[in-house]
Amino acid sequence: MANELILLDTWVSPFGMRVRIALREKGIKFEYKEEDLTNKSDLLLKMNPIHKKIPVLIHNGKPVRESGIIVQYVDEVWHDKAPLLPSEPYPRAQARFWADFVDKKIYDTGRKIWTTKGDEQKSATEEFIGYLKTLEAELGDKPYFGGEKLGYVDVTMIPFYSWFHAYEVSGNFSIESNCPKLMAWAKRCMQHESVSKTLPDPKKVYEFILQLKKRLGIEARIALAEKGIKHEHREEDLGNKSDLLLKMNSIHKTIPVLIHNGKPVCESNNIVQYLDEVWHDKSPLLPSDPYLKGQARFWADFVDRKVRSSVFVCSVSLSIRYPCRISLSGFMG
Amino acid sequence: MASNNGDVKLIGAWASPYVMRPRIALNVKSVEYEFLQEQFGSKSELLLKSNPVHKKIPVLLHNGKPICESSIIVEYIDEVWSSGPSILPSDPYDRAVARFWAAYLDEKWFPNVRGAAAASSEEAKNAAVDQLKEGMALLEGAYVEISKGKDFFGGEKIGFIDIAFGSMLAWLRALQVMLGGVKLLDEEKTPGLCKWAAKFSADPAVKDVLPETEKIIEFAKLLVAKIKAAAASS
Repeated sequence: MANELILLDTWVSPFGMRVRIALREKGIKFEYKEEDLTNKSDLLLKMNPIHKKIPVLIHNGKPVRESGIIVQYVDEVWHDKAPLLPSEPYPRAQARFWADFVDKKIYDTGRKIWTTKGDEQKSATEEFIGYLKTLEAELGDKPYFGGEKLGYVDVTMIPFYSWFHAYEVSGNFSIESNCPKLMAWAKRCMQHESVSKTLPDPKKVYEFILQLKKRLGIEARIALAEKGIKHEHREEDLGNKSDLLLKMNSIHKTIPVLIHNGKPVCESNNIVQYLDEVWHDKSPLLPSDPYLKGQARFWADFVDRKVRSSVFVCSVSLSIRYPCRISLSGFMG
Repeated sequence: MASNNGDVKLIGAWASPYVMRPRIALNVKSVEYEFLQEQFGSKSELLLKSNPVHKKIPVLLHNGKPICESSIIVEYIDEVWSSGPSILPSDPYDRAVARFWAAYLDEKWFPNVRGAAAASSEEAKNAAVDQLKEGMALLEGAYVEISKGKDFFGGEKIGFIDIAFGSMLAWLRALQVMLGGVKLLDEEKTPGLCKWAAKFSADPAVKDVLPETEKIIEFAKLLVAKIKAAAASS
């Protein structure tokens, strides 16, 4: 029987990575299709009309959605190759429980680390470390969550290892010093080809996040918050852009756009610099020394240029309430 | 048969739809269990010890070992008591579809029920209701496709999606009343689900578990008051 497998995914998604690792562990051939989440393919919209998200595994034309569900599906169909879930009901229930814990806690708390600053960031970082320590306790002395071999929980959690560097730099903390056992576990997992072939370079993930922060207007919002400037948020549906957005940024038609007394300022770097110049007395963001200021501008621009070519931005809806909650639609599996 | 089941206890509360799921599942399998009800507003030592990570109900204790999270518990029940009527479909693809809809209900649909009930503004309430109605349309479509003309999502008998969704029926009906007759189960728009809801509620595994709408309305008032008080004091 012909087994046609297509995976709709994106390189940086930890949810997509789970599926890739599971397929590779089992030696299953599949076709990988990189999705541009700012411009979702007809295939993705047809295969996942409700959530419009990746990953989606299309098996002989039929879509399977939600990363945890896909991994279980793959485990059930190809149950004889490298089984991921335990065979007994109780350990299976435990494996599902811990995978669910990772799903509920790790991504969202991690996201808070790179989308906020100050007290909110600090408490997100503490919460995050707390969850990692809980996982460490569950791991205990076992080489893997699955026991002697990579299992369902390992596959669910290991993609976040590629995001650790981004979290650490954003939140200015060390995961290694807080959770050495978990790091040892991660390095052990990386020795598996299925994992090392799937996880992207952590530095690329960090660059991606920096770029994403600008694109989502997070940098601009953090700058506004740092300076304590009162402002109104307007939520944009990037699939249905408002007249105001199209008028205020007629060239690029993208967010973020700052409208100050009716006049638009576009491009994240420009907005941050503008805020810093107009409200120069409150919490300066750029260094005052001209040379250092030039350096800061250089590196901000470097990130923009270097990452632009590998492009993509998630289509998002920005919450009106502050502190910001960003939901990355299309990004979570 | 009963003596081979081991010691089965369920920590929960009568009003929680998540707790209703394992109760229905145990009934499907004809497994007797001890129902340990939590007091509203406080958490027992046993609960905190059995679910230290989330501290939430339901928790199934099978021979003293805890299993947490309603969908995970239902799958466990299905796997342990495999000789009883099966709850999940046998085909892996159908199982993936069943799990998908359970996740949809938990992540997308039910939060709007709570949102609509506890909404502080007319605008927020209407937004939640609109989302619910959209969801009902999707669920109607899913029901028609998955039931293939039979009574339930699970076919001839209740299955995983029936339990995941049906456990929310008491709250759904209560919400309709509380929102002044808003129709979520709508004879015109969701005829399939209206039929399904009646059949599900009458199922022997279900009828003693789903509370009366009146009781949920009373309970909802208490809960909303508690939520509002907590919000006001923070």
